[in-house]
Amino acid sequence: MIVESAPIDAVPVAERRGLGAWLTTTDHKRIGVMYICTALCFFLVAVTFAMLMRTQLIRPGMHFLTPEEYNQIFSMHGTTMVFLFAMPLIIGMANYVVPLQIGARDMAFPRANALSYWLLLFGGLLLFSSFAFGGAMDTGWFSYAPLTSKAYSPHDGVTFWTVSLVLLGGSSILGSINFIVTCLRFRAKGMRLWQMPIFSVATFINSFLILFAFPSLTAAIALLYLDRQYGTSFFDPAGGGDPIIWQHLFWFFGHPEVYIMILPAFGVISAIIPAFARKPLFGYASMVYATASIAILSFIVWGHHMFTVGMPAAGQLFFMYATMLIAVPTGVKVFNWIATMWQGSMTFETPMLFSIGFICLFTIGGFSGLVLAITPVDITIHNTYYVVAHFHYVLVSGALFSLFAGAYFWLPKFTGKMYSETLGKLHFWLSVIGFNIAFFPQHFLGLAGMPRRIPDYALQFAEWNMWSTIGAFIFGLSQLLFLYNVIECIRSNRKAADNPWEGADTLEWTHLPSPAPYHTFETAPVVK
Amino acid sequence: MAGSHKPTPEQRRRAVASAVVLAVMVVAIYVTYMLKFAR
Amino acid sequence: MIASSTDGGTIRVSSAAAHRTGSASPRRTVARGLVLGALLALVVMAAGCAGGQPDIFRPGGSAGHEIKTLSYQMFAILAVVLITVWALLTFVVIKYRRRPEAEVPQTRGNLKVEIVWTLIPAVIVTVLFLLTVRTTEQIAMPDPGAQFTAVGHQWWWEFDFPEQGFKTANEVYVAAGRTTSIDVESVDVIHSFWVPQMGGKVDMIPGHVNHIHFVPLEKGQYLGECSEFCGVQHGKMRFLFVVVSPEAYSAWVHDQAEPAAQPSGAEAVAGGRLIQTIACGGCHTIRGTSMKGTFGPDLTHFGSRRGIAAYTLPNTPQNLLAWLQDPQAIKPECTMPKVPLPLPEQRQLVTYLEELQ
Repeated sequence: MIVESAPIDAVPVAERRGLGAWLTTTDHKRIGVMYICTALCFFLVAVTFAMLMRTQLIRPGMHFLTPEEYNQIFSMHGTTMVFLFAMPLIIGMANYVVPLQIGARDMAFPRANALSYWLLLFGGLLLFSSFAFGGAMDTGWFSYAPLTSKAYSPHDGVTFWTVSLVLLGGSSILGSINFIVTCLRFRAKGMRLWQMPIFSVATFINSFLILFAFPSLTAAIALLYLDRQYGTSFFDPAGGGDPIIWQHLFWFFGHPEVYIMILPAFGVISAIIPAFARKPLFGYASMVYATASIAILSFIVWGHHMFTVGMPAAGQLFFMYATMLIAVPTGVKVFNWIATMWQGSMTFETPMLFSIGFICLFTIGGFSGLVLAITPVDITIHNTYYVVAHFHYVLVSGALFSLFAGAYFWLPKFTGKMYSETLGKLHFWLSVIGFNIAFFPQHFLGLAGMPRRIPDYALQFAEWNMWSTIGAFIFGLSQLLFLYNVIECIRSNRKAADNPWEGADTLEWTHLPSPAPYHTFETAPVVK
Repeated sequence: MAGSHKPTPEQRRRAVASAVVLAVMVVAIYVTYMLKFAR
Repeated sequence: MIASSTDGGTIRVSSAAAHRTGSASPRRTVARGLVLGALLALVVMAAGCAGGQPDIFRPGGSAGHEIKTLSYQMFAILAVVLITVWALLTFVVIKYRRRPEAEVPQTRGNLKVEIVWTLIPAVIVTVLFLLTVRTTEQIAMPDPGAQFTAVGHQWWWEFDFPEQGFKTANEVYVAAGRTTSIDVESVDVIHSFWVPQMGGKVDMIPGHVNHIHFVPLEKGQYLGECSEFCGVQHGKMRFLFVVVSPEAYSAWVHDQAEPAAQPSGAEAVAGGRLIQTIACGGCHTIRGTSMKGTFGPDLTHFGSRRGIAAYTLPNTPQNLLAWLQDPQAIKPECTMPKVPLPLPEQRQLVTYLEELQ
């Protein structure tokens, strides 16, 4: 794709400032910034919850948290990280970057875009307000029935959760329609759909994942709400219902959900590695096919969360093989990234460090996932700390590291300032060390038989738990460093060049100043 | 050749049509679930 | 004219004017870091294997050895791939660091190579799948029909032996070398029946009867854990799974089927009379007495059990006394109420219960 013309707007639109301007904005860049800031606030809260949990688990017999407090905290840790941090952070980045990359003036529906943000904020606040109304949900982020019924969860935490998830789901669905229509209808003239930069392609495909997955969650929580508030029995066997229906409905959403969190992260890595290797992305077409394959496959594997519910053997084999197949397109991506670096000319600034760290560590998470896919092995280590180790490797050293890479990568474009490279590297190394000390031992804990979601444990698990807590503290505290880096960057006077990254060459880098102006591409670029 | 300043009526029409199709799809999926499980 | 490199386009021209800020990263450090990381991981993995804890790699049940073999095969294959990926990364990071004079080939792909590295993982995955199918066939065994039913409660375990006419709680014996076949159910929320060294777990779901069968091989006492989050005291819902010789098992079954032992000694007799006059029989059964409640654990042979309150505490008179005095202090929100009697009478109850061997 070659850009023929992309004139910087002759008369810049006058910038509206002040709190009122931000509260009423419909501008995709401002909305993106609000998403990111909100996500980082919730991140701080969820990390604090993790520190509280790990403190309780530092040695057997701790009475730091009561079991009830522990249950609320681990449930809210998971829910917050998934719905109020990972998704909004990536949506915020996509909001900012995608219109710029495709040369659009804004999202297709700017006011709906703003509504999506406010739904997120109020959904999150509603969820957290439950702490003040008798306690937050304490049933785990996937909240199995019938534990969530009124009989076994009489206080309102679960109800708050269902209502809040309707708001959050609505926000995501609305946002996804917006992204899809923006990519379909508002690309720069001459840019074909499959010529969009890979990060935008990932966002586009991811939006379909959201559209197909979230209705299942919405149905599940609607039925749960009816059971709780109106005495229906969708999940209550005494009334003719079945708790397993909840599991099917939830995991039909829940498994695609984890790919919703990782596909845009893959897109970030695919944007960064070419830039820092000064070489084009190797195999753009197969990256797109791989992304689409992962998205499609993600809908036929949900049963691997349910191997122990009494599933017939044929079902187990089907879900096992389908799950294992996802390793193939994922492997293609890893090899393509390495091939991009091959014969390149690499520098290792912070975004690249996080990207390489991502490849190394996400692969471990992918492999522990393969182990879990094997049904007879899964039936042994299901609901143990092995699972906790697996999903933290894919979500933290996977999604989170990619988001850090993207944050450092795009900070100059968002803020017009350059972050401190020394501090960025320090954040990287502390994170890698802390994260691995925290989570690698958890594989052993699971294999040794430690169940998950328990506030206290048998003596035999003591040593690895202590190490895990130490690592968690190193990792958790180093995230304060990240926040410091962002704030320090904004307040510094190291002005960033329009394109500080020698190898970055998508539209936001090549044709826009740093920071990106208030309104961009009022005049659309033309590409060929 | 420079593109348009704001979305053209044609672009707007097409965008809304796409959005409606997607929204109908979402609602259809949701309603299917509810009908399947509502007794 | 600028062409983009992250799309499916054509020739790319790098912009000459761009500059790079930030210090030159010590790329050797990155490379060293990676290699060190790999070594560290291997060391840690070895350490994990050396630990003397019970784990699935020291199985005590029938399918355990096959699953262990399969796991080792899998770990071997995955380790090879992981080390390959790390080695490749280490290599590119060292060899292809920035060389300003270098001509960087703008390769956009290579169909043959991409096909190869799509097919090879697909083959590996299929091989793993077939290995698993074979293992599954190897560990399949005929099911003689359930010997007992395990029923999950918040937060204790009921074990029903309907043929032999008794129920017990929180501790169960099985015969080594014989197929143990268990039906599982739940009366409230989802629990999960798991004895780690016996392999497999199965969920206990209200409204369903699930099933598990295996052959316990190594004699010993194994701690079972509830493996599905079931509320506030999920972490204190354990049971003892005791594997003994077939003769000892028959003896156990015979003893359990007997009604409660008659109390001996004044203290125990007083306790035995007392317990039938207060509310305990509303929840508990002691066969041979007037107590026939089914909401809580059957206490007929409570004295023979090694733990109290689903293995929250060892079964000693002091612990039992503390439990009766304030169960909420030990296991908050469990449904056992305090026994609000004066201390001498509490002691009588303890003496009586401990004699129920």
